[in-house]
Amino acid sequence: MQLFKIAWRNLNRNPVRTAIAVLAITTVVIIVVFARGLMVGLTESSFGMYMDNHFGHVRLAQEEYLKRETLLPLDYTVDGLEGAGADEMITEIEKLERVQQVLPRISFGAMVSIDDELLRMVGVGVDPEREQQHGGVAGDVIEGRMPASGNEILVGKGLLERMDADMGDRITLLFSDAYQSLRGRTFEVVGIREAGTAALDNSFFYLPLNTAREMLWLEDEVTDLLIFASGAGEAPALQADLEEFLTGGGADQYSVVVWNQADPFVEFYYEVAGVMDLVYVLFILMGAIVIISALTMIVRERTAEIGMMGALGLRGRDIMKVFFLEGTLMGILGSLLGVIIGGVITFHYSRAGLYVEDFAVLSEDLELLIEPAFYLAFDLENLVVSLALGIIVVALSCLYPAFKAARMEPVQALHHVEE
Amino acid sequence: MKAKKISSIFLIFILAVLFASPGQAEDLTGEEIMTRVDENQFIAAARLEAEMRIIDRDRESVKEMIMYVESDGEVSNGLVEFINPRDRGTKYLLLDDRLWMHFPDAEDLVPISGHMLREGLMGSDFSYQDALESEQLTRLYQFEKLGRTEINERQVYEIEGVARPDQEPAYHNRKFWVDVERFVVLREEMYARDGRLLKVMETEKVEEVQEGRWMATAMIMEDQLREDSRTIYRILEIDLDYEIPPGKISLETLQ
Repeated sequence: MQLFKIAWRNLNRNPVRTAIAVLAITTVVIIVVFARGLMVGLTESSFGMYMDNHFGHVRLAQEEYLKRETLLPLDYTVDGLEGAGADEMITEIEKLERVQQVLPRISFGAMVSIDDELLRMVGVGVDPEREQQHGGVAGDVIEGRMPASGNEILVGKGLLERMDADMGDRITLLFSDAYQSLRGRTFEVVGIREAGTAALDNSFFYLPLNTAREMLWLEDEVTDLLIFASGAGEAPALQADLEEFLTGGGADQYSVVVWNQADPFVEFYYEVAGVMDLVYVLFILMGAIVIISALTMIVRERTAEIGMMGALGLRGRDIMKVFFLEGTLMGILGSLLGVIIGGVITFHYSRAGLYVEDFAVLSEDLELLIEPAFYLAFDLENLVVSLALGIIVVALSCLYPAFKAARMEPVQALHHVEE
Repeated sequence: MKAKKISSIFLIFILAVLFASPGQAEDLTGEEIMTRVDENQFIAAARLEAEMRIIDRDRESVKEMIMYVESDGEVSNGLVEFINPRDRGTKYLLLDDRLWMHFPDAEDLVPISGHMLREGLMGSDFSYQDALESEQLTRLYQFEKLGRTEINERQVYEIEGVARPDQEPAYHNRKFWVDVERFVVLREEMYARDGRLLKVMETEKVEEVQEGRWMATAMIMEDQLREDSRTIYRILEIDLDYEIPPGKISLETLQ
């Protein structure tokens, strides 16, 4: 306690220097809180969209389908174990312990001719009941409702605008069935979806799975199954369960892909998110350099004092503690301030969103599932982690100058003063 | 007198050679040959039954259709009704150079225009534009005769067609191999502006549909941009004297 008091008192000996060091830590911790909030927000929203719309926690499809997916083929479907039908297979999969939800999907290409321009889009046959339970697509309905039966469709907001149509309108769409026959069908728009990303809102429409099956000549088949566990972290274990299930059923034509390996962009983005933890530490280290520099100067200035403390019988370990505490106190103060200010900024942008116009335009062109406005994640975990990271990194950084002070021989230190 | 008689006999012989030998049309230009091809394909009014066998990798599907075709020499109109179970009720109408589709599950007629014309007709290797342009070759292309060769033991002219400067057909260049005697295209290659080969069509069967009039009744089209795909088109029945009921080829009937 005595050492703590000495350290605290020392902080007040040069308030300007202390303030600069604390400010440096405050600044980097603000950056870390903001950056973490941004990354977590982006990750949660983007990864969530990929899972709900394309990949589930794991995705089951024919290997050939995954290779040719961009062409939306209907030749490589999931038709169950030994062709016994997809519905029976879904029932069996639902019995697996880790499985929480199975969403069968049929994706196919469609188009509409408007003023000599061909507008291409993607139709997705969905099981309305299951989608309602899961909430991914159903949760984005901003007007009307999910399609329930017959020729009802839910259309992306941007796509509806591109077709110059509105709620309740009847639209004739063209598509090729599983036998390559061009077909036309008139649908009624019963709902509008706004997912917040152009890649979905401008190109996708949804219809009941049974309607999709009937019009595409896909009897008891789907193009893929999105399978969910209780959390994304369980995806690898879920994949192992499903692979065992498929091997047992002799179905080697199917692949089970974990969400973060299903797309090169998601894979890359997932890796970057992992590397970011290192970036945060480096950020705080940058701030800590100011403290290391301040402490080194303090040690040099107080060489005689250190010699005196040693001569009076203070052990090297105690001298180290004094300097360590002095640096750590600056770290705690800076980190606390950083977390408070960073927290306020993050909270603001978690509500208001951070809109960068250039990025919004770019994200439309890239067809990535990223919202054009960034909504930062504001949560206690981010604040606690940033605070802990700030304190720990600064404390560790103080070890070197503190160790240097502790290693001084009292006689030499006193001699240093006499010179 | 004797010399005059000999020269008369020689002249008759020359004329006989010119007009009677298989090489009688040797002097025809590329344009003239393709005009003969167009004339040969001209149909005033007919009813046809045909099938299209589409082979796409492992999947094979057959479209059966009844076609009604009429032409006044300037404009060709036609109605195609699909009769195979999966496509029954689907109809295509070619009217005044515009294509319309009717689907049993759709409330509106669908016009086919713009980019859609380049799509595969019912998933086949033939595009809608192929169907539209087949009878207008001399209007769309300038032809040049490259020479003569042989295909399937038949003598053929090798003709190259380049798009006329004021036209924008589906293919910038085309090469035709035209039967010297029957004026039927036995092989055709379609190229893009950059010289890339886009499609190859080969005639599988040629039949005499009327006295002295031959037509290709089976052909294979391969879209070179589609992997492992080809379409075999066969005319199963053709009635060139058919009287098309009034109003049969019209938007009203299509609806």
